[in-house]
Amino acid sequence: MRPIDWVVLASWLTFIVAWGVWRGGRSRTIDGFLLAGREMRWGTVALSIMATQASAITFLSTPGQAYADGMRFVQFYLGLPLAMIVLSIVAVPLYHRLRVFTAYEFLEGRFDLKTRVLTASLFLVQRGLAAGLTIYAPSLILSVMLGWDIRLTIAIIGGLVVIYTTSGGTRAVSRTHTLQAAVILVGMAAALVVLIRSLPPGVSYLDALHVAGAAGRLNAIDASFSLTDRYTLWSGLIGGFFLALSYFGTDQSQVQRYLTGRSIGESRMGLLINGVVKVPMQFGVLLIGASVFAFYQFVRPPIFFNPVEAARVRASASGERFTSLESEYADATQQRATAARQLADAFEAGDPAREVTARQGWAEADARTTAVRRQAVGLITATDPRANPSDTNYVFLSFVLHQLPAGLVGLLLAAVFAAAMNSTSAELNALAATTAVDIYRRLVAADASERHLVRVSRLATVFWGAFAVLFAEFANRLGSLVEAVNILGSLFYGTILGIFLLAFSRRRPSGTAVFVAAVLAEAAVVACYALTSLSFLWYNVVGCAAVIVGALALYPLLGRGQTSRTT
Amino acid sequence: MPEQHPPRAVDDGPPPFGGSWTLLYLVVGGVLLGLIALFWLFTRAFA
Repeated sequence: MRPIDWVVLASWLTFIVAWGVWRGGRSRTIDGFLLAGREMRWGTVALSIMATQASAITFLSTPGQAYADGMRFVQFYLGLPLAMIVLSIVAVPLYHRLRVFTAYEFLEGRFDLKTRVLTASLFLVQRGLAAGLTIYAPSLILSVMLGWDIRLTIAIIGGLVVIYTTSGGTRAVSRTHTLQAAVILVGMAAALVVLIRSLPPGVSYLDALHVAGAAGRLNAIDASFSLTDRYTLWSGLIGGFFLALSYFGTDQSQVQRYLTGRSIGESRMGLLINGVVKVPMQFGVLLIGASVFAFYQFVRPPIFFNPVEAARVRASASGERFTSLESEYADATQQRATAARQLADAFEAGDPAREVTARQGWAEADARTTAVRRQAVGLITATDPRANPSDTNYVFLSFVLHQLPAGLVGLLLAAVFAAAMNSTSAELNALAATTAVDIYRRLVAADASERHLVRVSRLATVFWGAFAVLFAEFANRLGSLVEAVNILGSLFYGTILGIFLLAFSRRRPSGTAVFVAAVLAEAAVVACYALTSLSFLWYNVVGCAAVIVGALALYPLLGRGQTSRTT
Repeated sequence: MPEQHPPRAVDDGPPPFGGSWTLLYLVVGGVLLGLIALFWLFTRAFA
């Protein structure tokens, strides 16, 4: 980091906190604090929805995911546009007509108090933990760069978000989302441009992509059907549809974003814009990761992208062996770069026979490089058994720090912080709303005044900020963060979605039947996670189906609920 | 007692652009199909 980078980063952080506090105002009503007075236009709603989902994890871990595993992760998002259509038709009009503050409020009218509290509690646990992960990701950057204790950086990031979210509530969250989205877009586009311009002379971007394709990193679509393969077209369309339906339809951090729309049309439009933009955006982020992979075929990458773990081994008794492996790795990557160059030339020449030979040469060189790296990773974990053998989350960060020019590093870091603050602020805001409306007002103080509830919401924001910060301390052993956060969500979303689908239907079982079925379904999902190798996207299907089938099976014993008059 | 508010009449008019909501839903679905086709071609082109 050079001085100009510090200036850019510090200026942005100061500006966005001040902007959030100023634009958020000082709401004295619960409607103003939690739903921004329900006055937002569709553009703001759409940006806020996208900014809430796209956390720093999206911009740090997703490129690393593409670097290590290719672009097939994009299939995870293919069910999302379909979910946006369904929610626009079913959920948006219903929530608007009932004037709810939270999604769970709606469940009490449909079932009973215990079902509402159970669902709100599942949300609080899941989202509270996820907020910890979204704070952890950018904290990682500062700790690696500055050598600071990560606990300190986690506390600073969490603190900045809490300041403007507590002060301005949902209005501050939505207003800051708009500006932060612009910084993210500019930062990521700048990274891709610099990457393309940094390729060795004579190697075009298309040639580099061909090399990444030969290495299996441009595998965007896999049409095979497998229940254990994490990312296929079908798991994305079916499992991803259920996950998106649950996330956008029942997760308060998202429902609260489109409840701020001034009409059904404004909220609906916000969701549909997200349905069109989200998949290409994720493709773009993954393409950056695959491009970083292509770049490092021609330029020597570090043997391990986490510099802290590498430095620890160098300073240990195994340091000499590690240094020797680094030299071996330098030779191997040099040979691989030569082979990649030959492969790129073969693509450029359009000579299939030469391409086959060059591809074989590259594969042999890559196998040697991978073998040396594997030994180095083994040495890292042998030296410190607590060390994380996955360096996926550091790949993009390492590229930014070592390859981008002065000023742009600061801009990229500002973009990552922007993304982290976007999603964290929405999460804390939603956790506060659920705590204040579904738990406090419903179970503790039904007659509380508006001002009192706003005060409770502010206190709840601070509480959940502290909770997230504490959980973030434990996040560094979870492997790829983008996968960890989605696995965590999938453990709960299916059950919650099943409850909501029953609530949306006109004829439904009693609250007790739904409650018992939901508890059993959650146990089934946890059992799938602990005892089977089922891919996590299918947990959403299992949880949802188990609630619906269980409630229907139980209703002869436990009774049927009311018939809806409001849908 | 639940504090759920009574249903209210809300504006459910046409979209800000695009003519009708049904058309917009078809556009979103069509864009998804187009993207899947493009990604499939992209995968094949670089396999």
